[in-house]
Amino acid sequence: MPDQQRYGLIAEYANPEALVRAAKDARRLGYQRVEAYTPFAVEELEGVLEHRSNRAYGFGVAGAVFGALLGLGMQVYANLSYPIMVGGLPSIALQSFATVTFLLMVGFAALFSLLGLLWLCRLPLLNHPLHEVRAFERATDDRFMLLIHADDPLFDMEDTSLWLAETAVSVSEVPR
Amino acid sequence: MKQGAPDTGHFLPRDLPLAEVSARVLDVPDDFQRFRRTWWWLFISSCLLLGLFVAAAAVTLWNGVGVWGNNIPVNWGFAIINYMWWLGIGHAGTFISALLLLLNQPWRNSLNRMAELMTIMAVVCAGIYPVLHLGRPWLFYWTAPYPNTMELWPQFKSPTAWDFFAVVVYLGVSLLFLYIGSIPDFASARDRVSKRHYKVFYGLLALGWRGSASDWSHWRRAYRFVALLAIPLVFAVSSGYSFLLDLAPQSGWHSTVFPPYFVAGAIFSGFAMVVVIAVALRQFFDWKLFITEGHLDKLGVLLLASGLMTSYGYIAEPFMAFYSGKEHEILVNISRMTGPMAWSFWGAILLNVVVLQALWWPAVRRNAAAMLGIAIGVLVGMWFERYMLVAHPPTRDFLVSSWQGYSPTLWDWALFAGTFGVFLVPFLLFMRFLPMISSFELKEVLNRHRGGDDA
Repeated sequence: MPDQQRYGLIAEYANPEALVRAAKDARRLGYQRVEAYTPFAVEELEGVLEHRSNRAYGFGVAGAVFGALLGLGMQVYANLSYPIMVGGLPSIALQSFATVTFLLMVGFAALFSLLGLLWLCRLPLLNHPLHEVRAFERATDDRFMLLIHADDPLFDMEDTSLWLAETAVSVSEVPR
Repeated sequence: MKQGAPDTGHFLPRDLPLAEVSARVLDVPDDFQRFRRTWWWLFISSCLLLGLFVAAAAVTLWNGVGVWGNNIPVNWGFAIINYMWWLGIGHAGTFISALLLLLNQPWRNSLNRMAELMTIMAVVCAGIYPVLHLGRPWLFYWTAPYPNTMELWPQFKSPTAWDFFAVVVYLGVSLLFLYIGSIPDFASARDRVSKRHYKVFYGLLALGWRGSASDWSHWRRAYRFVALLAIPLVFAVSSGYSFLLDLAPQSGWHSTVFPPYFVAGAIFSGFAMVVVIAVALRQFFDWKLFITEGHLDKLGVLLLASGLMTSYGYIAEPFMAFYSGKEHEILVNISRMTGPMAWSFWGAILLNVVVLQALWWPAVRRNAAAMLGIAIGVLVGMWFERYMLVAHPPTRDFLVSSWQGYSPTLWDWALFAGTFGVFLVPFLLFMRFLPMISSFELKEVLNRHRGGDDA
């Protein structure tokens, strides 16, 4: 039964293995709106929570293509716009354009990667219901958290918190 | 703490608690009392050096580059020697961090953050030189392709135009790589500090990072993607600035050996600077727990390997000169080894080749003082190498009538000493306010090597 007052319930675990077990259990029980919060990347969670999107690479590749086209286009345009005849080179000397083309390719790929990462993570977002929970302060430090969203069809304040409390170090309510 | 060789890839005690890492890395800004005294002494000395830089730059701007020792025929002198020296140093930070990340070396995580911060400041120090050397530095934007009514563009077939892009892109990508790799640590610091103004500072830098599993899956991919790009970028930039020399018809410069020779030299000098920074921070913050003898040993091996590649350059370059059979090439090379600047050639050989061989002994590599001495020697030796490469060949031009010596002036030296202030002042501020070790990556490898459930 979805809950309008709350954002969800967050359970705290002492190590990543316990968190992974709890996440697996949650999925087995049929919870769908589940998210985990960890101080560092726990690769096993990606499989459990089905976060296997490769879209982050897509942004980088798009940036690389954009940067290479921009770099090459800029140099071709500059040489057509104001031809400098020097050293017997043709106006469009692709070999000499390789360096700047490569550099801009790498530069834009890195820039797009960061912007894409921020977009995929929906950042910057400085205010969030989770920051209101005292226990969550350790989610970026040395605790491993499992969140069940209140809009999950199976969410029930009492049952869900009792089930989480069976294995967790602590369970906290996240107000909306 | 455990004695003997740890069997973990990260060289840290296997059961080191995660909270210990946070307390010793992230709580530094909040709990700086212990370091305050030393830090202020270092900061004030660095500010004096920065003042020297400002004075020397002001004198240069007021009087023009005539106050420097470079003239015809040596028109590059200190400006380009020091540019190449600093830029070379700037190559190791991003390289060591990106390469070891992709090679999955757990010990990297004690060193990558400080190496990346070192890179940023070294590239800034390098970038200042060509701008001041322009003579009219306020027109430096002429080197960029900006829209103008005269339809004038940079000469894209010239390495000087490539170099502008190389430095700008390298600085930008290094900053992005550093920032992506620091976001989770800013979030950890935000959630740990008690003082309100620090919370706001880290909170803004962290952009609201919460570390959800889906965020981590995107972060891992983006971080590795940028690392993969950063490695060829390092090669492109350091071979790029060798083109400044080797595309000129000057004997002693015009050689195909230069690009790989410069890549090796750049990474070599940068590793030396990483050693200096690692030993210094280990002492300053009392981080013998995080930067162990094992780390110094690995750095020593890297320093030795890149040094041997540079040594190969010292052999290949004269060999190619003699093998070419060109009289003037041979003359320039002999004068490099026996002429008035021979001290720079033999100084480079002594510090970069001879002294370096001490690193074959593991006991030397594991000794912080010895490593520091050898690394400082390499930094000096690499400066000698740049001197002998950049300043010497034009003194023996094709026409004997234009042979001239070169000697730097007081302001050359003042500006060079001042760049250490440009490097150290921001670096000390980083030490004061930023996590100098990537704490979340350390926790990750600590967890990975614990070997299963310890609850």
